[in-house]
Amino acid sequence: MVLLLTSDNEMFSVAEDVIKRSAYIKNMLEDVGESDLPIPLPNVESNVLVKILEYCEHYRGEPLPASDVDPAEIGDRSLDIADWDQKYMAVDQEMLFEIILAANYLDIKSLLDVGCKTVAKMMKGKSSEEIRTLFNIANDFTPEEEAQIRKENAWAECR
Amino acid sequence: MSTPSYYRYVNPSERNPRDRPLARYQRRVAAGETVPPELCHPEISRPPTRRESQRRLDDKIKSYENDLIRLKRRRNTWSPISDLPSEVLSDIFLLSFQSSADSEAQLHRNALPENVRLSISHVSYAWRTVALNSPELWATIHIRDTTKTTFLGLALRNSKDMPLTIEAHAIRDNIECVRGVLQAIPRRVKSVSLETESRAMRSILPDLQACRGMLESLELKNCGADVDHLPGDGSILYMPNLRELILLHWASFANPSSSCPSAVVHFSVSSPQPTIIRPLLTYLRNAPRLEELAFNLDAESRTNEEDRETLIELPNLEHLCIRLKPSVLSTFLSAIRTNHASVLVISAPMKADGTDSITHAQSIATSIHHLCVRSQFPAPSNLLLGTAPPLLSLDNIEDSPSGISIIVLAPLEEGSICQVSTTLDHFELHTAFHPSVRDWFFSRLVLISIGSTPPLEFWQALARVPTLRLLDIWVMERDDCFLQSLGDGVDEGSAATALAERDPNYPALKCIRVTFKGSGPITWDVDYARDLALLLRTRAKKLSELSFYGVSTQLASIKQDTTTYELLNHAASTGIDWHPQIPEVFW
Repeated sequence: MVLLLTSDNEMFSVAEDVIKRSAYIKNMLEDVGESDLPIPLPNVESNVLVKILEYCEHYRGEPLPASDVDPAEIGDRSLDIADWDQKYMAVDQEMLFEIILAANYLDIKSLLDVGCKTVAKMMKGKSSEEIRTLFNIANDFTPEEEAQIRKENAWAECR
Repeated sequence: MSTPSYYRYVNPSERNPRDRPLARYQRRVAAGETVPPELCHPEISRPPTRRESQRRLDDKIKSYENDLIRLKRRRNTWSPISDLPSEVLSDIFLLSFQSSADSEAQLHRNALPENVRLSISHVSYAWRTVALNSPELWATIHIRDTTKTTFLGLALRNSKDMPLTIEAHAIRDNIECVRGVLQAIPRRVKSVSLETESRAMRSILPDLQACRGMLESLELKNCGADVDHLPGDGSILYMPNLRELILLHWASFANPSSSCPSAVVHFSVSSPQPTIIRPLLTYLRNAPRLEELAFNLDAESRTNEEDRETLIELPNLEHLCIRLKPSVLSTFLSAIRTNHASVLVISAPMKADGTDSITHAQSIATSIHHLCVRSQFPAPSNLLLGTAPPLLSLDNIEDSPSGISIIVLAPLEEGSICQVSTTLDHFELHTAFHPSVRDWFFSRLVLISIGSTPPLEFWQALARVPTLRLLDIWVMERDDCFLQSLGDGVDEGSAATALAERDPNYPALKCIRVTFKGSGPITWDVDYARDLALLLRTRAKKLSELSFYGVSTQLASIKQDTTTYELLNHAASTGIDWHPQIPEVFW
């Protein structure tokens, strides 16, 4: 078992084969070897770690992706997401981005990929204004930048 | 001055309009007020002019506007998505762009996916900064007839030094736009997919040639009404770094008389004209690095003896995916030899019209056999008989480390899709397996899927295959030859011997999947299942799976007949599976 200490000082005891989906933890275990000391995760809160562990548990036993393979380099970059992953990612935006951040920090490539695909899917087919509304972002361009944007939009119009 | 009668001066501040700033200043001095220091400065010895006052106010407004923008930017940092590091955000942008490019390719060829890129970069200052600093986001350029050249400049600038992919579809009037890009960055073009008509293709070839140092992938599609010869002398197909080559809808292409061997690894050709065969074979003779070959020809052709003169060695070929008319297929297969192919997908559309098609089918099977023997392939471990998906994508085929994993040998009625029952009712595919080649086809067989009704002799041969573990069959009649083959040699007298020693028929069989397929409602599903279970009862080892699909009878009603239910459950270690639906994927 591996002990994990979250940023809000919650301790988790996790089976090694579950958490080894995290390349960060896996490398740490390989470097440090067996230890009774908890691994601190200063960037992950307990409620997010619970979600991360749910993912790792679901894919327990499945082959780990090769550590040197970046999903961005794999040819298939469609937005297809497995059914279970879709349900798993059906959370509010705050939690969604927390999961992505944690996946990035813990180096769980497959989860990071699913998270990025989920966000990309949310953006699909939307205009700038719709994306702003979706993610609660204000238009913060200067008038000069606005002018450049208008120019670019004019270029994009069909001949 | 008196006020004219046609207007009335309205002064909201009730201040005399003649009370200029200077007059006001003089009054203030006279009244003993302290003069503001700025007015005492020698250069500002006079009061500010109207314009200066406005400028000051403009500056103040500008300052407020800047404050407002600063506040908005600070506010945006509190949006949850702003927590993502820029490299993750950049990846999300890329995914968004690529997926829109994929769907655009299939649906709206005139709507540029570049608009997605613009939308993303026009959301906010932070997003724009990330987008403009993600050159990979701009490294694919889509060109249509409606694209403005100025628009492409944006991608060329923002992609910085990234190698570029240019995808120009259905270009009829805008070839100059394609040329402009090629000429602007010839050393950065890594991949070109160009769909245009022959004349425009001819005019652009010199510009493509100029990209020869960098170009790795080239797709040239003819979208003209006529199926022309690919313009040029063919040297474009021999670029030093070209790894992927796709030629679509050309009648033929030239092979330069003297050229280095082609560096192409993935080659795909599709044509409606048989004239493509000769240049293709010539090209293959000079393509020793080829690993994947897909060839689709929608035309009949007579066998050309010249093509059979020397065998074409394809020593690195791993995937061969061909869809040819039977008359061409045999010729083509006879012309090549390879050593490493692990996937062989062969599809031969033909009319199911009796003797001719049987002869063709036998000839195809024989050609495959010869190709495999000549290339020292092991016999296939999986066989699918009776259905032919359209030309399969190589990506969808499971790779097997040990020789050929799949052969699709499936004559289908021309134009028909993967609906087995309508075609194979009147075309007996099993006849393709002439006894002279059948033993080879069966020699390593592990899995067979049969969607036709082979005769008893076929089943008897199959029953002797020592390696066969999975049998996936369509059952179309009550007392079929499969049951007969299973019962051969297992009469009451010899059953005990079989049990004591080994299974006489299908000795390694572990799994049977039966799909009932009849012209009308099937009322004999339970009878068939019972007969099968009775024959399986004598086997030394139980099956691990016995499944029935397309059943009419409810499982609940079988359970009422406890004898039958127990008999069926006894046949497999996990009991029977009983499904009313027919699986969508036959195998």
